[in-house]
Amino acid sequence: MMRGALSLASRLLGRRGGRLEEAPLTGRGFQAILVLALLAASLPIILSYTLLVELSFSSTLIMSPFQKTQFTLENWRLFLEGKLAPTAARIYSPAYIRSMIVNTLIVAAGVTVVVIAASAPAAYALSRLRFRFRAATLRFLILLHAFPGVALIIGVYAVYVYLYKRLFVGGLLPKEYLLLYSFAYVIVARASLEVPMSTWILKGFFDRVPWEVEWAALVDGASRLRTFWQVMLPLIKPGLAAVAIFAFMAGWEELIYVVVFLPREAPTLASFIHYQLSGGSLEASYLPVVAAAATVYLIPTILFFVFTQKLLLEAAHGGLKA
Amino acid sequence: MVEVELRGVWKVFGRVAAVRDVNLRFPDGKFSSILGPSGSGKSTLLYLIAGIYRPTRGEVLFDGRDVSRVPPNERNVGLVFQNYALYPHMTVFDNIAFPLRLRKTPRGEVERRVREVAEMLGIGDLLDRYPAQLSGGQQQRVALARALVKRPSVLLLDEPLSNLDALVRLRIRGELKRLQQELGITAIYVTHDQSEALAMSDQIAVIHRGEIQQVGTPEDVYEKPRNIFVASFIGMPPANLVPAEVRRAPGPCVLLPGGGEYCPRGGLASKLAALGLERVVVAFRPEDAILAEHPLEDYVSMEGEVYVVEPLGRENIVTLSLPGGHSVKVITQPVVSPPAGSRMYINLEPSKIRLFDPETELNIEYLEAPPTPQVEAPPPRRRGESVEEGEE
Repeated sequence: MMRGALSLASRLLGRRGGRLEEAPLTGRGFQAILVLALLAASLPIILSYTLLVELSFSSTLIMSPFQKTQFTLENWRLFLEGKLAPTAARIYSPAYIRSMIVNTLIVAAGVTVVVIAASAPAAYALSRLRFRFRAATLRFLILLHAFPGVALIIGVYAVYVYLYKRLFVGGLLPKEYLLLYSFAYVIVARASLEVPMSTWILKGFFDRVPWEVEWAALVDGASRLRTFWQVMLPLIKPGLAAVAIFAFMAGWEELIYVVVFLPREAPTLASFIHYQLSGGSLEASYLPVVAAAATVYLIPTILFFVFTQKLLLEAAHGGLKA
Repeated sequence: MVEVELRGVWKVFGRVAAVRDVNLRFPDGKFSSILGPSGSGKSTLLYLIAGIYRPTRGEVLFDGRDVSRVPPNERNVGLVFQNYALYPHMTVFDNIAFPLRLRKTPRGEVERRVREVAEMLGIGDLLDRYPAQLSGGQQQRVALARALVKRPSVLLLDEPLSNLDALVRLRIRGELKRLQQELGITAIYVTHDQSEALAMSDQIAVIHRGEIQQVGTPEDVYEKPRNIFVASFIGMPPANLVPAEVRRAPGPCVLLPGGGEYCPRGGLASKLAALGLERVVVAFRPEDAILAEHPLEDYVSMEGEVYVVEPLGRENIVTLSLPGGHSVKVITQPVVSPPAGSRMYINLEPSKIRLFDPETELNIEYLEAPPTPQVEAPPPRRRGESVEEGEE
């Protein structure tokens, strides 16, 4: 888009070729305008996130961007101690807060593992093997990805209940395993929403690995499985990393499936914040403390942008040259 | 070391036959080439030997044992790819050690053998690097080391030199031939470059459109091309092809454009007479013709008009046009540089002239004498039959 505009501009000015280097002035001018426009468009989002983080370090409740406030760590102390209001009307134990963060991590890590384990072999098969309905499967994956998770929840719930009856009412498993079942169910259900797109992305990475590299491994004496494990997977590392990050974020941020399938006693950060902001608890919660919780909730996103810029660029370039 | 043999091998991709009924033998311990233009099926043939492809029909034999259904990891072949196909995420050492580790070779022996083969190929000091940090020539050696370290019974080379620049290519070409002789390994070398094939091989198999055109020593293939394709593919520049008429009486004589007359003697004359051809294709090599201002005695001479002279330093290539619009190339001494438009005589020693049947495109020398003039002909050329070498 941007490059198109640039080359159009340089062509209008009578410069052939339309390459950036050939029209430095116009190029830079356009870039400046574009950057400004993007900044302006994203200002509301930047502003609200800034406010959120600021609020978590503020001594008073901030109502507008121009309000003066004092820096304090009090909100963070209260949050980690489980005191959701300075008046201590709602008290959770510090252990509860910790377990909440751990729950969130379990769901996020679980989703990551399931997504990678399912989509890497699927992507390999779709990229390398010829079988019937291969093209149809590829198209179907895109369709699956387009499906909103919310629309599926009734069906997903029905399966949950069916399995629950089979496992626990039927007496296959003792009741102590119910929490484990719920976690496993949330993880698999949420992961399955990520699998189509992840498979599609990883297929693109497998496609770029030259056949010869795989053949070389086979000729060198490796079995198909070992070739996949020792040669193909390492070669699509950037893709695996990207997919893993997306899966982790999806699990970390997940709200609906968590609210529906995890018991109230096992909240994640998302369901906790949601609970604090909804229904009867809004008046009782002190917002700066909730902001601290929300900032913790944001941490993976922030880390993601700090550490993965280079990786994602590499991913965009394929990351492989044999 | 083994002898590799292909028996009636076909490989069909979808509706395209990449390899048709190939019967070939690669002698034990010899350097054999498969030579053909791109899309001729030569790489497919190599992958059939390696086991990456399974023949649609026919058999691949190693020392008489049918290995057609044996997967590549059990064939003990070494394969060097055109793009080297090194493992980018492994160091040079790990790349070379990979085949050994797969065989559960003890650590010490892995170390010893990797160093040994690396020293032999002059990459002993590169073992800690990654492939991306190496030059093309070095990557090529690593690929060769990886293929050789497992002591394969046959070494397969798929255009291993074509990604290198010209000087490196010349050097490695010599080294490769020397290495093969020292190791006494059966080597099969796929190339589209006829000079590589001629320079390195004990045996050349020329392939075109999935079919073997000729098998022989470099001299055979060069001096006695079996058909028009081989004549026009081999040589730099390739052989000149000129259509000519045949006069039947008294003896059969070929009337060349530009006034020459060639009356073959002996067996060739009787074959020509018996075949009853009215037209033939005359082929001669650019370096076998002598350019002069008049016809030379005992030579067959054609008069042509100089079109252009290309000086190459060591020699000149003179292009002349003959009556009838055919152009031929002649290699001359660098001092011979006639002006464009001048008329010159192309003088040919009769023994250097080859005659082909325009119908079957076969060298008349190779044709059986009558009473059975019917000879197995290559199938008519059809369009759209060239084959992409690649994924199955």
